[in-house]
Amino acid sequence: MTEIDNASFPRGIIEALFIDEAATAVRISHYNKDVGEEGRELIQDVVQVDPESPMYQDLMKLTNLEEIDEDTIEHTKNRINEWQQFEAFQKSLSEEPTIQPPIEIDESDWRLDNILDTLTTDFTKEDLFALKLQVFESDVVKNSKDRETRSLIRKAKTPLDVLVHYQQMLEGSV
Amino acid sequence: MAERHPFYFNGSSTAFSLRKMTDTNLASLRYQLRVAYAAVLNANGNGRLYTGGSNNVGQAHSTEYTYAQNQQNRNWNTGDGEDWPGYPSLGSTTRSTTTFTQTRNNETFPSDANLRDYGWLYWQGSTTSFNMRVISAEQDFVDTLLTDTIQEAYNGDEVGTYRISTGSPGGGWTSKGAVFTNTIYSNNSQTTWNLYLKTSASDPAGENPVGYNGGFKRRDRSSGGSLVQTLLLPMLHRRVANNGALNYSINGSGTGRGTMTDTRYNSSSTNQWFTSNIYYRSRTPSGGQSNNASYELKVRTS
Repeated sequence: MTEIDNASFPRGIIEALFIDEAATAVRISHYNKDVGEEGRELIQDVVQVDPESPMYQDLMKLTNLEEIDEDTIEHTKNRINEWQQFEAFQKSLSEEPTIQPPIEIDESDWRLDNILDTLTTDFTKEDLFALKLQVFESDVVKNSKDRETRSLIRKAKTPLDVLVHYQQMLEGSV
Repeated sequence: MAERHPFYFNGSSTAFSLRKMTDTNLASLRYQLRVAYAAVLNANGNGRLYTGGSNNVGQAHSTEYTYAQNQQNRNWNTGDGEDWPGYPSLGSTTRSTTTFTQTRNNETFPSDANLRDYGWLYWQGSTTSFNMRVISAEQDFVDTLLTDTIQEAYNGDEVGTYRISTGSPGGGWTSKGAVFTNTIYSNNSQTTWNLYLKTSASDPAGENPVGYNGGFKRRDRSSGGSLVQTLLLPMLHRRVANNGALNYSINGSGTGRGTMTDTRYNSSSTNQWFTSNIYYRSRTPSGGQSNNASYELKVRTS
């Protein structure tokens, strides 16, 4: 294998994903040895988003933050799907088949007298992340080249922030 | 060498005396030096702690048990019963490694001219036979100011030092981003630790030292002043580079500044199934969590 001029990742990288919602650190998967060498394995290093860090500088020679952002969302979505499928498979092995009850939605959160709380304070991290995924899956965001607003959506701290920036993208797409 | 406490002006501009500063009088100068050092760290300067460098601090590993599966083809011999394979053991993998590095570059000791222009005067001699001298020996600075400054960073207000925590340690702490995530097989219950730097606290009261260049001059003790920037900050960097002061390690000596914990599931569940004439048995991590390893950030004074 031809090594590339990169001290931290001489064999290139397989994947780079943010490890936190605020996107302050990246986990990078790469191989420690060439194909055919003894002891070759996939290793994963964590590095802060820090322009002064040699490892981060090497990472930026191979990708950019926008790509990492998109790959992280895609990866998370796939992991959730895989995990749900795996859990369903496990369950199918140990339980009698059952008819799933209809999903009950607590609509009280979305009544007008509660919606402000839901959008600003009364939400979980999972709610926020699911909303971000949903927004990033929409065509208007997928097809948008507006990196700045995409970044604002990614960094949003509340559902309201997500929707405000989403609205900006909708208006910009008209 | 010895402590060389500076003089300060006690009184108004028209009626004053020169007095020798006590350690308490020097508290504000020590604090301002820590603030200046913290500002350098915050701007990614000399002394900072970061991830992804040459590894002179240590590493933290997040590991997981992983799903495992055995399979065995049906042998079509009805006489020996079913052909189940044995249950596999759980696999394990290192999900991520964080490598911590601290820059510890040496700096040049200030010139005689700078010591004269920005330094302070001290009293040397007896009551009837004495001199006023400009402090100049490095060890005198260490004994008078730097040792106490480092000690207060170590276990006082902690300004100019780091902590690792899952949430902000409190006021004055700045997040430098995530550095470690503990993963435990599924997507659930992941915990992320951030690196925090303390950049400010309360400035204790204090006095300005007095120096001499073309007359007695009050030296500005603020973090941006020449006394701190030109004289004391390089000396503090020299203690970091040459004497182990405010050096960090993972699980080394010194006082703890936060612990990253690598946990794993402490049990497993098994399954078996038969499909397409192949017998399968699997083992999946499950149960509660138990600690596999702890990585404590430590800081020391020397």
